[in-house]
Amino acid sequence: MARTDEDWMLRLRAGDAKERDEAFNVLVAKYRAPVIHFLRRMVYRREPAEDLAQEVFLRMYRARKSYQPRAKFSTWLFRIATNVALNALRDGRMRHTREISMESGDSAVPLAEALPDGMATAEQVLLEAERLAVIRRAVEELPEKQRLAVLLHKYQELDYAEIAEILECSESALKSLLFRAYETLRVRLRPLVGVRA
Amino acid sequence: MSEHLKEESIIPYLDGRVSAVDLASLDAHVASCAACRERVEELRAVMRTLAEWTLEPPSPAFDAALRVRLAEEEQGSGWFVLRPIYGAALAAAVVIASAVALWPPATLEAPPLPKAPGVAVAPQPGRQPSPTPGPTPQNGGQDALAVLDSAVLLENYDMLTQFDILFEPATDEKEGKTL
Repeated sequence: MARTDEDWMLRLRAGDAKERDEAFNVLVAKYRAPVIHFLRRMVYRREPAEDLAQEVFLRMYRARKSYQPRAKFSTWLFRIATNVALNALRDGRMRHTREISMESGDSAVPLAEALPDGMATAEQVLLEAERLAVIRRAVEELPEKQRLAVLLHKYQELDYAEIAEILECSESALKSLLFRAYETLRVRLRPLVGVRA
Repeated sequence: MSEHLKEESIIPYLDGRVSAVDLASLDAHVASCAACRERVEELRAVMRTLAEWTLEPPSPAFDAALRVRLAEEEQGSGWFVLRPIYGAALAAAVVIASAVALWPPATLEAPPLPKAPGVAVAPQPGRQPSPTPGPTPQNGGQDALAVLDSAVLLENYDMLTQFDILFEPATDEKEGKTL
């Protein structure tokens, strides 16, 4: 029977050196991309996001001795990631990063590769970049809690109970929060919706 | 359902995360209410648009960088210190760094370096790099830590100082106690 994330975390807490090493590798391999992408969408640049992701996994490691599997491991880990991201944004470490992000299109996937036929014209590439920048700014300008809710719901696909626990609110409040966030995005993204570059 | 969809119902409805009973009721309302139908369709389109924001995979160097930081965390615990691969890598780094730091040989004329008279270097593990100049014909590499300080390859000096095997335990000369 396959081990759960919680099993691996308990192994990281109580195993010998080899078991700890294995457990750490398994958890990092599974959550590396989700955590980095979540942080990337919070701070917008690759290098700072990966630095923060390292901090998340180090905190996971430091907290192993006190870990209790009361909640899903992913909830616990994304709560750490949320705290790390918010601390970085609030203490000003990411201010410069965000200012750059607001000014430039930091497209994630090379645009020519993102286009379906690989025959993108320069105009198509620019339009695609602008489209992505509008999407990113629309999310970036949401109030902090709404932004977190959208990132955890839309991009991490966590369930309502997990997101509510991370954001410390009820499930009902979370559903209203998500509705208000998507309503705001509906207005901001109206020029893009249904229109492809 | 005579009123419009409640705001806390719309997102679960779009996600398909509602009970079968609720789904039937919501479907019936959306079919009969143009305003709610339009709202639901627009929100679906927003979700599709947001899905365009994709990201490339993490950097291939991520795991290696994380391992270095974890090794720093683990200083003294024995987990990483005892792993042969880290020991071998560390030994290689020290040899290369020492070779670079001691080149050219002391018999050659070294370029003049600024002196810091009166600044003594105590060989104690864990200290921060001092302003002491690097090895010169005058000190001839006698101060091993000063050599390490000046070695350009040892970017993470603090980490290396935690590998106790590299250093003799510091002692209090007067009382002969291990510090």
